[in-house]
Amino acid sequence: MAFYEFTTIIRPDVPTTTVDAIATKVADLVKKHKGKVVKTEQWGLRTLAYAIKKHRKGYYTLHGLQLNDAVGANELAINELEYAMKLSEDVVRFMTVKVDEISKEPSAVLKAKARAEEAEMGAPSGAPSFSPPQA
Amino acid sequence: MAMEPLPARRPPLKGKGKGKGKFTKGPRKEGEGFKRDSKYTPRLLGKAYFQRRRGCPFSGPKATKIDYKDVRMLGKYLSDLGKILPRHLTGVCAAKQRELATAIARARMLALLPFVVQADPTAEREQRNERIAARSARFAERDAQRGPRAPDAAATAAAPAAAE
Repeated sequence: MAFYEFTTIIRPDVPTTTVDAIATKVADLVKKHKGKVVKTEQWGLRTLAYAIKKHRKGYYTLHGLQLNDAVGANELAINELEYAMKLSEDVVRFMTVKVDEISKEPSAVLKAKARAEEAEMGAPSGAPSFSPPQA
Repeated sequence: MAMEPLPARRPPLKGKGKGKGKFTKGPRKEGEGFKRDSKYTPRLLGKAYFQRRRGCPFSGPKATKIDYKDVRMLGKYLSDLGKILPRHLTGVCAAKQRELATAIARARMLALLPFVVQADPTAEREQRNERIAARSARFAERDAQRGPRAPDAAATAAAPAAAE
């Protein structure tokens, strides 16, 4: 078994359905090569650290892929996947990283996002942070 | 009014006086040593302080995992201009520094981290404006406090001058 993390950045000026369309495209291609998508994470619209193709923001998607270890099969699958992304005009950047395992927990980006949302929402509303002691 | 007794003078140094015999030969006394000795206690203004030497944050039992997605963690090992900090500042071991560099490269590729942080003149100007605003606010407060007195003094000074 080999695991890969495949991250795509989709340009911000596309309809939201495109993000899902590309995710399904990735899933289809992986399935074609007898692998499966173990995990899909939508990081949403994020501000890029620098402009890519004149875009300042982008929709991030992380796919955790699991491919079987047949000789040359993984390379073929990844090549085809990257070729498809290269042809797509909506995908401005993608990256494949081979990893030892794909953690079941949400990634650091999602955790940071949740933390930021909590900080934004929690403070003004003054939600009770403790449960009252039980009698 | 009785004079308080003066504090006792420091006892004279042992030896033959006039600086001779101050540095005696022979085995060192305990507590005397070099900085590198583990028993050495550095003192600042008479108080002991310790410089804590931290090990590599990525090795050992409580090691953090190096992950290219963890922007917050990676940011600790970058300078203000987005450059990777040298190991001697961060204490990361050589093997982990190489891993860290790869992770930072990946994060940069995904635009999670910048390749370069450009100096922002507008930010500097804003900071300067804030400083100036704070200072003028301070002056205004001070003027408000001594406000009622200042015109009086001026008036009394001006009145005789006008009368003459």
